[in-house]
Formats: sequence, C-alpha cells, structure tokens
Amino acid sequence: MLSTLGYIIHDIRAFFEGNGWPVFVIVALVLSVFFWTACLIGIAFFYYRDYRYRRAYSRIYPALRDFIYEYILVENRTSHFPVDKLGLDLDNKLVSKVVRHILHDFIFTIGGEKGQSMRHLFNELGFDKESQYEIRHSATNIVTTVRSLANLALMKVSIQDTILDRLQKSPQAEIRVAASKYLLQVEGEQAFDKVFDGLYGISQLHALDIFQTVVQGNYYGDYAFSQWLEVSKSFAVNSLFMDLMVYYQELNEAQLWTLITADKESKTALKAINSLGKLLAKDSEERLQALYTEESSLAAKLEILKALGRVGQGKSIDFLNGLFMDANLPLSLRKHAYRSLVAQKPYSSALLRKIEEQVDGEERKLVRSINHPMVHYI
Amino acid sequence: MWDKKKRILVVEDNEILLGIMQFVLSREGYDLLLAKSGKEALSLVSDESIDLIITDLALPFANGFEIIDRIRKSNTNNQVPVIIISGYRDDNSIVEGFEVGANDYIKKPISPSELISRVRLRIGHA
Repeated sequence: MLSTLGYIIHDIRAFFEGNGWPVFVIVALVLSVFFWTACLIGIAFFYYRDYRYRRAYSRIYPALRDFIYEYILVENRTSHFPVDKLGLDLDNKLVSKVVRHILHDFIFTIGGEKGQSMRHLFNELGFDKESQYEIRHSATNIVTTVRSLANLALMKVSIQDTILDRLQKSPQAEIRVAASKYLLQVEGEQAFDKVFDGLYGISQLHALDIFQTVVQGNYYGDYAFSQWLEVSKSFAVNSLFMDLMVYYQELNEAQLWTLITADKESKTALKAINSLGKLLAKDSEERLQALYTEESSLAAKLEILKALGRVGQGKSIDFLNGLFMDANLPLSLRKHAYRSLVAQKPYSSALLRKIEEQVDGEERKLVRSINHPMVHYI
Repeated sequence: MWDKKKRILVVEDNEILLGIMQFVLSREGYDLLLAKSGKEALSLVSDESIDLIITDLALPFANGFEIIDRIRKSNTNNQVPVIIISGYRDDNSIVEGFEVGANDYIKKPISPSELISRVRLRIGHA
C-alpha cells in the first residue's frame, strides 16, 4: 500500500520536475489563448452588432419620424399610407427590426386617434402579417412567438381562436403567459375566465407579469378572482389571485381559510394570512388568534401577528399584550405583538398608555423603538 | 400692436415625445424652450420669461415634483401654469402632482389634439 502511494508521488514529482511540466504549461497557454481570443471575438461581435443597429437607427429614424409627422400629424391620414415613399427594405432583418422598434416607441408615446393611425401604419408595413405568420409557424420558438404576441397585442390585432388555444396550451410557460397577456390586453375583462382557467406551471415572475397586465388594463369591476383559488394549485398561481383580490379589495375569507387550513406551513398559507390582513378581514380576528396557538413556525406566527394588527377590532388586545409581556418569546414575536397593538388604536390606546408607563429595561427600549416615528419611516 | 408669442417650456427626456410636442406646439404658433433634465429646466425658469411649463415626472437630476415645488417657491415664474405629462397612472402620482402645484395632469400616451386643447385652456391661442 505504502509502496503504491510512493510510486504515485514519484510519478507526480517526475511530471512537474521532468518532461511533463513544459507540456502542461504549453497546453495551459494554448487554452488560455483560445479562451481570450473567443472572449475578444464575442465582445467585438457584440459591439459590431450594436454599431450596425445604431447606424441603421440613425439613418431610418429621421425618415420615419418625418413620414409620421407629415402623414399622421399634419395630413391626419388614418390608413392607406404611401409606405413606398419611405424607401425601406423591410425584407432586410436589421431594417425591419429598427423600424419595428421605432414604431413601438411612437405607439407608446402617441395616444388617441393618432395612436390608432400609428397602429394602422404598423399593420400596413406588414408587421401584423409577419407576427401572424410567426405565431403560426414558429410556435416552438419562444422568443419569436412572445415578441409576435406582444406586437399583435399592441396593435390590437385579432388572432384565430384555434391558434390562440394552441398557444395557451403550449408546453412552454413563457408562450402560455404571452398568450394570456395578449388576451388580457386585447379583450380586457372579457378574457378573465379564459385566461385564469388555463393558468398552470407558471413562475412567480410570470404571475407578477400577468398581475401587472390586469392592473394596467384599467379594470374596475367586481370580478370574483377568489373563485380560482385552489389548494391543488401552485403558490405562484394562488399568489396571483390573492394579489388581485387585495388590489381590487375582494374579500372572501372562506376561500382564504381553505388555503390556510390545507397546509398551515406552506408559502400559500402565509400569503393567505397576509391577504386576510390586507383585506381587513375583521371577522377572522378570533380565528387568527386560535391559529397562532396551533402554529409552530415562526414565519407563520409573524404573519398572524401582522394580520391581527390590520384586522384587529379590539378582540385580540389581551392576547397580543400577553405575547408582548412574555419574556420567554423571541424578540421578533414580541415586537410584532406590540406593533399590532399600536395598529389597533383606538381600541388599544388605554392599554398602550399603561404599558408605556410601566415597562422598563429591554421592554422600554423596544416600546420606544417601535413608537419612534423614524422607525416607521425607514 | 405687435403681440408677443406665448412661450412654453417643455421638460422631457424622451426624444420622441419631445420631438412630437415640439412639432405639434410649434405648428400652433407657440414659442418653445426645450429642456431634457430638471437641472436645465430650473436654469431656464430662473432666466427666461415663460407662460406655461409642460413637464414629465421621471427626469434626470430633479424629478417633475421637485421642479414644480422649486418653481412655486422661487421668485421668478412662480405663478406659471404647469401641466404634467407622465406615464405614472396611479392616483398617488396624480394627487401628489396637484399638491405640489401642478394645474393639469395628462397621462401618456398623449393625444396631440388633447395636448393642444389643454394648452389653449391654460394660456389661450399663441
């Protein structure tokens, strides 16, 4: 055994001290040269592409801008634009990309009837057909399909139901989300059922994206987002519906409690407790107190205390006071118990005065810190 | 008698929107001063005579709220009407805009004809 180890050590020493070392160095040098060359080529390629784009942009922008000013702002044309006068080779991918970007910027900037005319110009340049073609023929290419759906949504161009259904059932979450966003942007609240029914396998970022699309659609109705909450659904999906419930102040305590009781330790349950607080579910005050005693995780207890501060109508004052006074509890729990007492003013005003007069030592520091206006400000 | 053109200060960092406003308002006969940042805008407000200010909210160096607040507290042009043009569509931004002293609030994307009417409402024809 020892002799084998000795041979190995000898071989390694022979490699570094003998002929092996120069070979090793040469290989390392060659690899290093390859690596840095590849990096430089990559950087040069990136800068070259950027340079070509900027050069094309600076050439196309003035022509397109003057065209828009002349025909849309001055002549008030709404369709049949003399696009040939632009003299642009839209079959060239770079030109097409630049024109599309410039038109997007104009469409985002100009609203009203002129904005509508801008959309017609976009369509007359053939971009709607290009996007329609792309979503039909490259549904597996995520980037192209997502971009095309975004373009069509911006132009409010309708897509065949069969194609849209296929995109909504795509195995790629990005495509499904883009199709949902398209529906929400084009059809508004009419698409709620269709979109929410087909939501699955999305990430939290996707959920946020859909939330923003709904909110930016200027919807102000009384749609029941809570009907889509389900224990079997993922956190991201349920989280989206809870965010929408909070945003539109749709209180459905029963549905939220179903999520909480299904799995008290889950992220979904924490979010549901948080939503109860934000929705000021005052009928849940006593039930939240009971849940606190059943819970074992610190995160859940903290969420319950925060929610009690928001929903509290004075029924949980003694309970919160008991927690604050319990020196054996972690500081974070005591702090949130006191914060929730402060949030329950005026029900807790008399008790808070009494606490401030009586406490000393660590408790006094805690009370002063929570009551300090700068602490809340930060 | 020779009538002086009404002068509007447009504060906007978006090249496209600035160009559109310049084109639309110049065609209406207004005299324009253009600024792409809060700093430029404040220096123009202190040096020039202005009839109306149109400002964005998200600007480099000083945002739209700060610009309006400083104009209202300054010695020159502190009574000039101010129109905010912003992509912020939330109630808080609109309320804060009026609280710092704006006279009107237009949400992006803007309609050129609506912009002209609102300008005319504040300062009349050029």
